[in-house]
Amino acid sequence: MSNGSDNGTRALARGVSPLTRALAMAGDGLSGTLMLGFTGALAALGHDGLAFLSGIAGGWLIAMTLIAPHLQRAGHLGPVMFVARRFGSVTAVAAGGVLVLATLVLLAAELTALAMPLRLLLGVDGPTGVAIAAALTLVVALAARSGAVTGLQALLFVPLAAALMLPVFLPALASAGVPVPQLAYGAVLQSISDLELKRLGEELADPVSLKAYLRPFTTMTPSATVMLTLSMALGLAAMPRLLMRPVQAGSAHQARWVLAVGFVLLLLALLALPPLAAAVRHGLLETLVGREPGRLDPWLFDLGRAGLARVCGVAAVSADAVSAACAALPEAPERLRLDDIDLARDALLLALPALGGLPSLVTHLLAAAVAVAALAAAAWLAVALRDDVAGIGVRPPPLAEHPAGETSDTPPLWRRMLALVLVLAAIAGAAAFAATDPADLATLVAWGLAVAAAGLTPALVAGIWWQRATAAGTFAGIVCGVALTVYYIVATRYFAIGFYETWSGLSNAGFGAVADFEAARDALAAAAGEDQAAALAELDAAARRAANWFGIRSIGAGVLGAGAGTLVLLLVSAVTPRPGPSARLLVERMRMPSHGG
Amino acid sequence: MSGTGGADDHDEPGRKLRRLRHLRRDMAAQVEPAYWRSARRSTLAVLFLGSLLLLGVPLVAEQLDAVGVLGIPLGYYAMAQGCLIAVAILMLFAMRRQRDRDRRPVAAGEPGGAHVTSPAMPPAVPHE
Repeated sequence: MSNGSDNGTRALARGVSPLTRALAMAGDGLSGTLMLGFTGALAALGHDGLAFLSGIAGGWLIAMTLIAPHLQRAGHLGPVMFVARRFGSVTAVAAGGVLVLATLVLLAAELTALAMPLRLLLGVDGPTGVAIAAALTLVVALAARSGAVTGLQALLFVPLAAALMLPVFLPALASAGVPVPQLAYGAVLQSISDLELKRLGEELADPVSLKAYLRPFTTMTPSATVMLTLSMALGLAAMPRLLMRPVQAGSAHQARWVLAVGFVLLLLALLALPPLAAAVRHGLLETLVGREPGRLDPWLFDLGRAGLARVCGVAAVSADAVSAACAALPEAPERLRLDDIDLARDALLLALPALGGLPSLVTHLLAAAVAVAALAAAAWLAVALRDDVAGIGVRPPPLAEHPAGETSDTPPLWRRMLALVLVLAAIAGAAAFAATDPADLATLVAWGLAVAAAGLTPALVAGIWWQRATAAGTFAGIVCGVALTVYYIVATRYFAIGFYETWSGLSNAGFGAVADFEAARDALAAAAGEDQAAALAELDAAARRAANWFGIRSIGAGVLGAGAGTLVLLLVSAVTPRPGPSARLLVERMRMPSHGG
Repeated sequence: MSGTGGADDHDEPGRKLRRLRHLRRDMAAQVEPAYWRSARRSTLAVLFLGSLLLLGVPLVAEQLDAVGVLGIPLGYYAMAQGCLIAVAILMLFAMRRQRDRDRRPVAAGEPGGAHVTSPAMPPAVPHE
């Protein structure tokens, strides 16, 4: 720890070129959760899943325009460091708490992603895989300096992107002769639409449950799509994982350059995700649907043994188990229907090589890439949190010549120890949270960014762009925003029955969902003994479908908190005394032209 | 709230430094309005365009799907590739515009009341 936090902000700045920073940021963007979670979400949600990509792009854009260059000009400050300098220590504690919570959730996602290849290839169970992932992350986060993680992620970007594209590059080259899957997957999309119609005609897909892959708004309303994009964008823009590298650049222009070029690099990988997801969907419809239950490929049983595949309602551990389960169904299918197959969304990318008939070497390469990307991203999340917290109170560069990004003193020991404790707490909390298998990876990322959007973004934007923003207003805004977002996420996910009963007047649930809920409630009232647990689970599932305010999903809840927090911030700031001279000076410093770029 | 931080806490005590600080604040008062207003306008324009691409286009995706690009419905293509590429171009464009703005001396009489024309005007953060 001492190495890493020994004035981490200084270590981060020294000897790192802008191109290395941009590559490292792209490498960090290409994390394990992006590979597994976003590909899975795109494959499962089709058109609607693309909102996740829009959210990432929006986050980079907001960071580049609204936040990062200004924090650089303020004295190379991370988000919590800036809040501390602009609004004082009490507000910084609130912002730090929000950051720890958001980092914990994002770390849980990366640990889950890191555990996935271990589960699939080494056969370890989920909680053990998460524990191993947490231990590895802890070692890397404690041993590595910020600059080392930056160098590592910069080096990793190209090989990781190449490994990610392999499952679509090879088929594109073989079938169309075009080694650019981003250009050649139009035919695959058309084939998906044809297969959907074919499976409907064969009665192997249910017209109610089948969501057309290319049609928008089949799983989310338009407003929910917009809120998801906005929530992710606002949250990502305020996270130290995105901001710490540009704010340490030598100038505000360099900070913008690092973000713009980093996004262009990341785009190369982002654009590969829709073709990957389309290949997964195509493989499912073509290869699995319509198969006889007793004639499935061994790779599916590997997934089943890892708890990642269920067929006909049971874990797909063997051909006999699947055949028996399908035969026991009321309408025993001779061929598998789409609804009989339940593959874990986050395992779809690793199943793709087998679905496409590629050699197992591709699966192993992909799994290794996911593991390395997730480990590096988890380590950087922890290191960025550590540096941001440890840097609170470090004096900014004096207004005189000094090397780029170098600060003028070292954090005191107690603050470095505090940062260490927070990192340990975040990793331990993330491991405990991930071990409960709370949600799929894309949802976890959206939750983590929603917390950041609600708590950090209004404070940063107001601190930079509104001189009148006061410490009291910002503190109140942070607390209200985060409280609302966390309440919405936790209540709709873990206390859905109570949430729906309290707020049923605000729910946009249709007649069908309401009828399902009432029927499940009646069934619970009538159930006795052992049936009660099953009836309660049914009621909870029905409540989750109906529990919302105006159709807002928990993955877009950051907008609720950001809106409420901003309103409170404005109102309280307006009625509290103006900020003092030091805060005004800081704002003036950010508003001066940075000649020479 | 305890304290408001201290942007100037690091300055060594001394008359010379205090004079320099006053001078810098005076210059800030002169230059800031035009520069800052211009930067703020540009930022708002970029964010508006970004919002159109990332929040507006998805809302009309269904209508755009009537047209195809590379065999892909346009609404899907726009969200999967087109808008992301457009945002990258927007970021590069905004970066260059802001760099040019930073390099340009603020012209006398420019809206906002700036009167400093010398390119040798000392920056707020000298290392930049």
